Parts: sequence; C-alpha cells; structure tokens
Amino acid sequence: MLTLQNLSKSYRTDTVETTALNAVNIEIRQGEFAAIMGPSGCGKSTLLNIIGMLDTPTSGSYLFKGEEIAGYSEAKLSDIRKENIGFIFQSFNLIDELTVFENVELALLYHKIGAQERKARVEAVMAKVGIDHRAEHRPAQLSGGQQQRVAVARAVVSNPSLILADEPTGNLDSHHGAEVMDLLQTLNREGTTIVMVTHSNIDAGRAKRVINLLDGHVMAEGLIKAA
Amino acid sequence: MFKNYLTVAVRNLLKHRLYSAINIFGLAIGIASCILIALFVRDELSYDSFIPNGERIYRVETRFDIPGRSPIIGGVSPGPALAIMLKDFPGIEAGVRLGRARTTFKRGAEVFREDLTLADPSMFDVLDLPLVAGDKAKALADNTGVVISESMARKYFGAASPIGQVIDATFSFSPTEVTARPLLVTAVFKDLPDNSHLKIDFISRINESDYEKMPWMFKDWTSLNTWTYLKLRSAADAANIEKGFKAFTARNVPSFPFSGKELKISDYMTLSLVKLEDIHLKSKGMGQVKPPGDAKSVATFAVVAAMILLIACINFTNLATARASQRAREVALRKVLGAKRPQLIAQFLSESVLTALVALVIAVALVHLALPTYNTVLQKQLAPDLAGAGPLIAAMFGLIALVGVVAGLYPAMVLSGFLPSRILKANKSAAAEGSGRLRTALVVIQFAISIGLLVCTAVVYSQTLYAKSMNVGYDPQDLMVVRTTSQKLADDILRTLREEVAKLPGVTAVTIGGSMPPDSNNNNNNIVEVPGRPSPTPILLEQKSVDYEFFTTFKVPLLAGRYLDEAHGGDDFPHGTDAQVRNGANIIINENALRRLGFASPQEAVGQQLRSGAGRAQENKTMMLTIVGVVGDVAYRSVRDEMQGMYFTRNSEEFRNLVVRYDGVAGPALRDATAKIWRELAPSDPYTTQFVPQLVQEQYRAEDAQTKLFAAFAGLAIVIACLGLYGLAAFTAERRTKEIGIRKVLGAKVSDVVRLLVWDFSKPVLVANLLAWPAAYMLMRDWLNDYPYRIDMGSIPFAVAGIGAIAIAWITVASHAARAAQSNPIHALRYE
Ligand SMILES: Nc1ncnc2c1ncn2[C@@H]1O[C@H](COP(=O)(O)OP(=O)(O)O)[C@@H](O)[C@H]1O
Ligand SMILES: [Mg+2]
Repeated sequence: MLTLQNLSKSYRTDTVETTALNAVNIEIRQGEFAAIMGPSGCGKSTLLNIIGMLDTPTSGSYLFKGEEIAGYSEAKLSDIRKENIGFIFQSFNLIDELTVFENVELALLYHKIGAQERKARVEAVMAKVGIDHRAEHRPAQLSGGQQQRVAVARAVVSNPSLILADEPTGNLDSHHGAEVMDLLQTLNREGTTIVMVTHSNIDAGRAKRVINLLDGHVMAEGLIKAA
Repeated sequence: MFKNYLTVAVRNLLKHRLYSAINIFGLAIGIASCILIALFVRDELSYDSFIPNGERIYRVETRFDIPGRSPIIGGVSPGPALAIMLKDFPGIEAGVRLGRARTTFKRGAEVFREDLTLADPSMFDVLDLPLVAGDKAKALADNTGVVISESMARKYFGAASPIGQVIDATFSFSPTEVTARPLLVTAVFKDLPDNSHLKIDFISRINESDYEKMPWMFKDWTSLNTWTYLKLRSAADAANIEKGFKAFTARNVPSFPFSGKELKISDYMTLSLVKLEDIHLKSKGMGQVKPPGDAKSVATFAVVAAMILLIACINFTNLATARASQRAREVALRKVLGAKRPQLIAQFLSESVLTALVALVIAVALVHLALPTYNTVLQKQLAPDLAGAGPLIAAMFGLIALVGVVAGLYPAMVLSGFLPSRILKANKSAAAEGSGRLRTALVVIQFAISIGLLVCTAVVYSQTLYAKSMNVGYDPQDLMVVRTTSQKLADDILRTLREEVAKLPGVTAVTIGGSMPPDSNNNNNNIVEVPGRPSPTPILLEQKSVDYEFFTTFKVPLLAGRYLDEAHGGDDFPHGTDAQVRNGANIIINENALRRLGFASPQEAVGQQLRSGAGRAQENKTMMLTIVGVVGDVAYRSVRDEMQGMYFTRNSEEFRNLVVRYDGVAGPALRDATAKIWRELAPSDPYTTQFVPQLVQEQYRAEDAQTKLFAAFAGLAIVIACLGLYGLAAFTAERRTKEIGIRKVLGAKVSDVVRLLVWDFSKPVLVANLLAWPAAYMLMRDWLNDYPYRIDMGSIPFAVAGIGAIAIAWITVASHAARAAQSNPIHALRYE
C-alpha cells in the first residue's frame, strides 16, 4: 500500500534544527494493522502526519499505491488523501458547533456525493459505531468514548482504504478504549489498512505488527500474531 | 485596588495591539464625527441668540395661497402693517420695519456698491444690536444719519474715529433718478456674528417721503419689501396675536378691484409669527437675506452622529466579548482570590472608559485636522472654543463616560459572570455561547446603518445631479450677466453698453432686460383672466420684462407663434397707464401659463387675449394683452421650486441688466474687456458681472454640501464598521483554526475554507441590507417629496450600497480567511 524509503523530516526554528525522523524505511501492505510505539517526542506523530500527507518529508521517497507523491502540490495531495485516508486523533477533534450527524457528514461534504446518499451513509456508519441515537447531540454533550466513536465514524464514512489513528485511546479509560479498539479491529477485518500510534501495550497487542521508533529511527519490528 | 485595575487595563491595551488599535481608532473616528456634527448643530441652533430678549422677539411672515399654483411664502411682510398692528395689539411692546436700499458709497476716488439697511427709529428697542460708539436714542433721529458696523468703520475710515464722519452716498429713490445724500455717521455697532440671520453693515432711518416715486416700497399691501420684527410684552401673547392676524388682514388689506369684481386679497393672505431664534431654521421662501438653514438636515445630522458613535461602541462591545475567553482565566483567578462581581464590573468598565479617553485625545486631533475642510464645505467658521468652554469640555467627558459604559457594560457583565470552577477545569472555550449571536446581531446593526447611509448618499447625490442637469428651458452655458446698480444708471448706459459689447470678439448675442434667469425673486405676480372664460380662482402669472433679443440669446425654444420683435410696434410695452389701457400690449406666454389659462395647444393660444390690471391697483384700470407666441418653460429658480406660469413683455422701464452669449473666448477675458467699456461709460459706478452657469450652480450649494457631508459620514461609518469586522475576523479565524484544520484534513481545499469564512461574514451584511433598504427607502421618499422635480429612486442606489458594503466586507475579511485557510492543519490539531 505504501513504502517509505530513506525518509527524513527535520524542523527548523530560528536557532535549532530538530530531526524528527531520520532515514526511516517502512513498508505497509494492504490489509495490515500496524502499531507504532515509542517514547514521547520520538517522531510518531510526525511519521503519521507524513503518511497522511498532512506534512511533507524533508528528504526521501514516499510511494503511495506505487505512486511517488513527494513533490506533489497541496491540492493534489488533498485529493489523494480525501479518496484514501481517514484520520482519528487522540483529542477527537470534533467541531463543537456541529451536531454528531453533521460532524460525521463533514467527511463527505468535500466529496461529490448527493445529500440523500450522504444521509444514508452517515446513518449507516453511525449505527455501526453505535452512536445513531445521539445524532442530534453536540460533541460536548457526549462522553469521551462516545466522542471518539463519532471520530471513528467520521474517519470511515468515506470508505478509506487506510485509517491513521494517533493515540486513539490516549484520552479514554480502559473500558471505552477497548470499545474503540474493537471497532478498529472490526474495520481491519473487513479489509481496511490501519496504522495506529499508541503507548499502550494492550492496544498494540491488537495490531498484527509493531514498529518501534526511537529518536527518529525505526528500532525494531516485532510481528505479533493475530489475536 | 484602582491602581491595579489601571495597570491591568494599560497592559491589556499594550499587549493586544491590533485589538486596541481597532477599538481606539474606531472610537476616535466616531467621537471626532460626533464633535464635528455637534459643532455644526450647535451653530445652527445658536442663531441670533446674541440679541437680548430674543425669547419675545418675532418676525412677521407672509404667505399667499393662490389656488392653481404653489403658495408664495416669505419672511417679508407688507409695509403698512406695523403701524396698525401697534395700535391693534396691545401685546406688542415695540416693532420695527427693516428695508433695503441699494446705494453706492464713495471713499476717496473709489466707489463701492453697498447694501444699506433701512430701519424705523425703534430699531434698537426691538433688535438691540450692541453699540461700541454713539447713542442709540439719537442714532436714527433722521434720514441723514447712518449707523455702521465696526468692520465698515475700518473700511471707510481706517483707524480714525468714525463718529461725525461723512460718507458720500447715492440712492435711487425713483426708477429714473439717483439722489446724492451725504450720510453722517452717528453710531457704530459690533459686527454681527456669523450665526445670525441678519446681515447688516449700515443702518439708516426709513423716511417714507423719500420714496414718493416708489410708493410700493412701504405703502403697498401686496408688494412685500419690508421685514417686520415685533417685541412682545410676553412670549405667551404670541399665539393670541397670531390668531388675531386673520381679522387684522380682513380689516386692513384693501380689496383689489378686478374686472368689475372685488378681489379680497385677505382671503389668500396669511400673516404669521416666527420666533427670532427659529428664523434661521424655520423661515422659508422669499426675503431671506442669508441662505436659510434647514431644521430637517440639522436633525438628520444629529442622528447620523449618534449612529456613527453607536457603530464605534459596537466595535468595542463585539471585540471585548469575542476575546472574553482569553480573559476568562484572569477573571476566574481574581474570583478565587476573593474578587466580587461588582468589583470585576468596575474593573472592566474602567478599562473601557480608559480606552474611550485615549480615543478622545486622538479625536480632538482629528477634529483639528478636519475642521478647515469641514468649514469650507459648510461655509461656516466653526471652532471648538475650548478656552472659555467649560460646558463643552464637560459634555465631552460626559460623552466619554457614556461611550465607555455603553460599550463596556455588556462585556463587563459577561466576563464578570464566568464561573471559576468551570473555567479552571475546562481550560478553554468557555466563552458564552449566546454572545456569538449577539455579536452577529450587532454586526448586522452596524452594517444596516452604514448601508442606510450609503443609500441616502446615493439618492441625495443622484437627485442633486439630476437637479443640476435638468433642462432649465434655456442654454445656460457661456452666458455672462452685467448688472447695474440703479434704474437711472441702466437708462443712461445700458443701450450704449450693448452696442459696444456686441462688437467685442467672441460675442455672439447680447440682450438687456429686467428679470432674466436665474433670478430667485418671485415678486412679479400679475392677476390675469381670459375674457369670456371666467375662472373660479384668480390666475396669477409672473411677469418678466425682457428685450427682443432675450429669446434668441438664451436659446428659449418657440412652441407656436413668434418671438417679440421690434418690427411689430405693438410688441413694445406702453409707458403710462393711459397708453396701456388704450393700446394693450403683445406678450409671450410659457407652457405652464398655457395650462393655467386652459388653452388646449400652443397654436390655440396664439392670437388670444388676456385682461390684466394696468398701472397701480388703486387706479382700477385694466388692459388687454395679446398672446403672440408660446415658449417652453424657463426655470428662473432652482428645481426645488415648481415652474410657474409666466408671460414676457418688453417693458423697457424695467431693463437693468445685460446678458452676453459668447463663443470661442474665455469668460474672464470677456469680463475684462467689458469692464473697460463700462469704466468709460460709468467711471464712478461699481462694475459687477456674474456667469450664468455659476449662478445656477450656486442654487444647489446647500444640496452639494449635504451630499458631501453625507458621503463623508457614510464613508466613516463604513470604515468604523469594517475596522470592527476586521478585528472580529481576526478573532474568529483564530478561534476556528481547529475547525479549519479538521475540514482540511477531511479534504477541504484552501478555496473551500476561504469561501466558508467569507460567506459566514457575508450573511450579517446581507441581513443588514434587508433592514437598511426599507428604512432608507422611506426616509428618502420623504426627502424627495420636497422636490417638485425628482428622480425615480429605482433600485440602483440600493444595489450600489448593498453590493458595495458586501464587497468592502469581503475585502476586509478575505486576508484573515486566506491566512487561516493556508495554515497547515497539523499545527491546529497538534496541541489540544
Ligand atoms: N512543527 C514543529 N516544529 C518544530 N519541532 C517540531 C514540530 N513538530 C514536532 N516537532 C519536534 O519533532 C519531534 C517529534 O515530535 P512528534 O512527532 O510530535 O513526537 P511524538 O508524537 O512521538 O511524541 C519532537 O522533538 C518535536 O518537538
Ligand atoms: Mg504525538
């Protein structure tokens, strides 16, 4: 599905240059469930953002579905991202002013999809994650677990082939965290490729593969048997 | 405690520079507009307040309601009225008539044309102008004395003491002769201030026997040549005296014998009283010495000032609530540390008052910068007299306190109402939900006001443009008027002057005549009738005396018949009542007269006869006028006045002016060439010329000034509203970065986000249009109703204002929207 070769990313502020990723080589195949682990500040989010085309690498190559995307314009990247990738964040990142339904629907607004089909798809995916009875609520009226399920619904409603999740259970208690992980696992079984950043060994245990990062380097890769 | 508030306030102002700048400059512009308008309003309301006992001094005004034409109104009144009024109404303590004499005064070899005010000796009992020298009681003892203003004393006598000096003056006491009369200076009065409806340089005593050959000056009830001022014993008597005027005119105004019937003039004539201090704003029509003010526009500008200030206050309120969340933590901490709500309200109010105070300082500077231009447009000498003006300063500080409280109260209530527990726990975006809706409502109000002002500007501008470009019935371009100062002089030199001027290069036509356009006088009104066609009401036509060449020189189109022509002996108006009765005269009528007289077509009118009075009314004679031609309507006055029925005669006794049409030569060059001829013909008479296009423009000076001021204040209103919108856009873009980030992650392009933000800011402006349009429409419909000839408002002013406001709003928010849309979403989503 995607191949990163010799990929580096450094940030330059006025005085210091931080190397967040240093010559990373990673391949993610179709249908995989990969967990990225490592201490805080080691570059996990940076890696995920680059995979998600929200950020561009400083050097190296990034093949997405066999296509070299380094050097693509923002608009072009936006199109590829929109068609292929869904995001889930640790802090949910729902829009407070919109209802649950509207938050999920937002992911379809920038696709060319008619209002009726949109409604059908949003309702279907809300039912799937179990928040259909909260469609008209505002995010602030939901528990954290429910909010994250809305975020999952929003990530999958456009049928992406790849879901990127940055510490999706980081703000949840273990019970709600498990619920969200169940959802991700189900999605993976149905064929969606998932790359997830996590600090939790339990969550990582749900993945088929763990990538360990330290100071911008891929340290070791442990293959974990499917649960 | 207060010191702590002040420290926080100052630091806040400094820390949030954009926010402070928008607030302070918005308020400064608002306050400056307010001060400027207040100066204007104060000046307009202060007219004639320098005259002692003004509260019981009134002017008698006259109105003729003649069916079939617009009423004739004016501040002048019949000469014989006062003497009888003093007998009939015991409530009148004193009265004075003022009149005007055209005179020339000599100073060494120089001659000046001066307006001499004629007054009854009771002058100072009623209009008590402060004297700097001389004795009020004796100053107007007889008609050889003159009371002069301080600046005229300087003009004629320099530093020498004016009392006892003699000015060589010449008067025209009859249409055909001039009288030399030396005038002895008996007293000197302080120059009248600008804010007076009076314009007096010289006062001499009315001596009715001087005017034996011009009896209409003071003895006629329908020829209005005097202003009458009454000082009542008490202002409470005014209503009663005014009520008595109906019976007064019925008793005293003589009937007018006309073709066998008695025409009761008093049925059409109404006398009324206007308080001295109201004359400037309320007196309308003929006989205003200075351009009158307009109560409506004074009120309008006062409202505009309040609205501009409101817009500026709204900025403050909006920006303060928009960033309330930024200060929530400070509030929470102060509360945790024991601050009570009233203390917090006091803190935030002192911040807004401090902001308003800083704005005031800048506003005063802005006023000083703007004042010269403002005075030019208004033709006034307004100055904020800070020196001796305790009340003005008090008013300004009152204004500041008001602005501070109005603008700051709501944010203070919101901020001080935050619950510390929620804020400290939730750590962000606890700002009240409702305040967002209030902000939108306030933005709607700001733009509704701005758009309303823009619509008004567009309408006033189009109407003025329309009025100026309206067909006046002749070609006003390239016409120059030369005026003589007396009938005697006119008779002496006008014909020679015409011959000589005609020879000058570039002169294509020359005519002489009496009243030629533009001319604001409306006093040549003659009653006529069509024999055999009785009219239920008298038909009044204006009579204008013009020479044969008038129509071709002015290019007045002929509709039927012919112009007046020297080849036809009957075209010359006979001199003397007997000749008039015997011979009649040929006349030209205009289209309006055609309708008034009831002729179906110009062709039908030609050859018809009218009967009119001959000589003076008392002679009870009539003469026949034969219509030989019909011309289009000629606008003598501005289009604020309806065109009237008119007829033209060639009465050479009334010829006083000369008009030149030129081509291929510059106006000033022609004026100088004519001046040379004049100086040979009349070396001791002042030479005055005017250009007709300028005279026509002058008629619209008030409208021009109004348009400019409206445009300026509407522009300022928009600027202030946009300042607020700019600040709001900045905060909104900041507040919505997370949302924008999410949208971008989900596939929104920069253009999608810009469109979203710009559309969000367009909505209130669109709603504002819906509020502003009907309000502005109704206002402007009333305003236009004052004009007999007016534009059709149509939709253009509304579209222009609406689209203009939206475009300006777009430009204002676009930069923020673009910046927000271009930012990388991961920054927004990274730290939560
Ligand atoms: N926009 C940025 N500017 C500068 N430095 C950054 C930026 N984003 C991340 N970094 C730095 O890059 C490194 C990796 O950050 P990140 O990928 O967020 O780590 P993780 O998600 O593993 O905690 C850190 O040292 C961080 O400070
Ligand atoms: Mg991270």
